[in-house]
Amino acid sequence: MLLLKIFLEFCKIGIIAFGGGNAIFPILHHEVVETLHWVSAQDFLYMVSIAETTPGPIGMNLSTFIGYRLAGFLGALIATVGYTFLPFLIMLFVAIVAVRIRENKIYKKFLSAIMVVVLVLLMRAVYLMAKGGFSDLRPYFLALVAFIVFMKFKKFNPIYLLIICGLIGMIIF
Amino acid sequence: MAENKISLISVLKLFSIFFYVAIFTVGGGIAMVPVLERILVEKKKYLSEKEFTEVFSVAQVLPGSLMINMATFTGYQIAGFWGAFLSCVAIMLPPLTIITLISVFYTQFIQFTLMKKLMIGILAGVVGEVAGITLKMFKKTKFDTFKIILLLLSFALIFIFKINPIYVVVIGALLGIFLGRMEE
Repeated sequence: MLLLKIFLEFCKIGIIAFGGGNAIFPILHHEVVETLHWVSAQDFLYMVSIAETTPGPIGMNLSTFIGYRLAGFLGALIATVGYTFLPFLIMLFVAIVAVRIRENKIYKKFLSAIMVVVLVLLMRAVYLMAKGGFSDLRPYFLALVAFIVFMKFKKFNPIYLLIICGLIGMIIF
Repeated sequence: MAENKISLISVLKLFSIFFYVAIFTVGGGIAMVPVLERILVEKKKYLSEKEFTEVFSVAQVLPGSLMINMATFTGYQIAGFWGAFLSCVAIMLPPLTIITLISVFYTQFIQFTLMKKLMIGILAGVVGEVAGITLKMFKKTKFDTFKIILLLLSFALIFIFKINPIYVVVIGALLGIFLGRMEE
């Protein structure tokens, strides 16, 4: 039963995904290219490049892409739901617990330390996005402008800022 | 009854917020963080600054994609189970429609370089905004000796020794529980 297999496989991939999209490329490659032979290595690279440059979380985009390739729209749906399923359950459980133990001493200590690590993870994300997506200096310059606008104009909708950056990108890149 | 009505409205609002944000998430779930912060904390006041940082930090350190985790936690915090559920459904819709369309028009899309330029432009914007939110969180953190050491240690482990972030998170959490202080 292909659909069930797709579902279980993407459940597995979803749970391994940690700290955002880029981390899952090697895992996904190992599973769908080397082990299951669902897509060729070259197709995989192509899918990654599209998943990176289209809206939506990268891992989810890839799940939809591979699922569609295997079994049409139903495959895409099953793969995407599978990818989301376990993280949703785990996070829901943690959220239910977290809102009840907010005043707990150990939880507070945990949280205040984790926030520091998350700062470093954010720096890493900025570094990885710029390194992976920017081919010359122009995007860096645009990113700097976006940074200044984001910090200076607190009322300005960040989504409009992204759209403007995209339009500028179409002209100058 | 009144309570049911309020939660129905907040569930629908959550759905539309996450749908809207997911469309503009280019370059991974992290892109939605600055946007969500501005919408949920500053505009709609659904979450306090502190709650948002908590949601983001916990979502970041759990397995699974950041975006799913954030949608689930935020959704639950604001409107319980259905809030969590529909927020997750909302973020699945843009990839499902857009990637399916691309799969159908597979070959035509390859030559679509203008689209690529648009997306790199958006990505540049995302990088700028995420850098902004990082600076903002940095300024809000009350650093004591422990936190400064933890910051330097995590930085060295991730950038110099290239340790998998999941281990750095575990190390940070354990050090925090045993040596850290509570944030008031």
